Amino acid sequence: MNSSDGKTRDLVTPMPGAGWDFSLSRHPYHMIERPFGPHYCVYNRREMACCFDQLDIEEGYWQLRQKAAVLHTGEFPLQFKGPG
Amino acid sequence: MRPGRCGYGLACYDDGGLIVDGVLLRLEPDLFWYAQADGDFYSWARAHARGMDVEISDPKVFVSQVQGPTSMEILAAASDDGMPEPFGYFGIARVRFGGQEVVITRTGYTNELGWEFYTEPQHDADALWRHLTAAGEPFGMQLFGLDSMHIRRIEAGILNAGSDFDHTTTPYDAGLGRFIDEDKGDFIGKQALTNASRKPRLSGLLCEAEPHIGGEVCIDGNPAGRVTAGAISPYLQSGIGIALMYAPGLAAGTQVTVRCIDGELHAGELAELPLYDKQAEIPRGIRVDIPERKD
Repeated sequence: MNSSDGKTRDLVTPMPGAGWDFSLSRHPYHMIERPFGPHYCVYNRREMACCFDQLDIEEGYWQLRQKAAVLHTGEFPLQFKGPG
Repeated sequence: MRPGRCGYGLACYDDGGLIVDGVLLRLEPDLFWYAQADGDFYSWARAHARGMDVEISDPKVFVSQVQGPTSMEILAAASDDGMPEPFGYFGIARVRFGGQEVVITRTGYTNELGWEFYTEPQHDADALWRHLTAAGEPFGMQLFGLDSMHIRRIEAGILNAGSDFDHTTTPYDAGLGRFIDEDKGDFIGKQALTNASRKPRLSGLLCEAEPHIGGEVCIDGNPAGRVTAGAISPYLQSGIGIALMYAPGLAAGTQVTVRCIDGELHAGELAELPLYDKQAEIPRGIRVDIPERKD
């Protein structure tokens, strides 16, 4: 079975509805990050960009302090539904 | 916590050791999302849900954060209906971005003014991103990686699960004791925490150079702790870090030497976290001055 980008192969695929997806997954904005040269870490079994070839880390810090910066995070929302 | 609000939440093992932290969103009276940091919370939650009428699942939601002083202007420009009201610190709103309804929260990982948006499986993510970048461009919004945010989160004393704390540290060790409600009925880890030391072991660091993660922190030449996070702060013009000390309750200002990324021990001192903006006035929008860049 191929991953969504067709370039890697999942050897273990969870059953639908099995709960937490134990395979590595990519952010829906992954392809938007690609042109900037992302370097990824794995967080909650999700790829999260640590830095980019095209973007300076200190520049990013000042962008955050003076204007606005966007980060697509590896936070993992888990849903709890019901009165309990 | 009432619907439409978020709260910061911790999960412990029975021995009081921390598993994970995160932001709990109460979307509806019986519907929550727990946006957790890195860790195996799902299995823990399922194991402890015995006898409870609750369905725990992965909603396949991804979180992005827009942080910085112009973030609220970007939100007002991006929202089809203008700025959501109310949308206070740790509030939740549902807004429409280019016709798509999106959950947003007034939270983040930087202690800057900011908000996060939650991309769900039904969203057209490409269209959503195009809409947000068009709205954000006039306000200087740019994509950046975790390393840039990491500097700011150390300054702010925001901890990272798995590196700053783990199953061997209690919330008190990590300086998170204010989030423990000892008057609450039974909760997992309560008995162990009742008997645990209240004095924190985690401390901020100020240093001549960039502290090396895992490097030793020494007092009078003797190992007294280890670095859990390090960076150079462009704003403070100093090496900064977080250290887990072996002994609890060491005072801010304690002189130390710190193993830094050049392999050498450098002079430093323990410091109270956060390193500035002690009352978190920046993320609340109370303090709005833009810091000058220091090169």
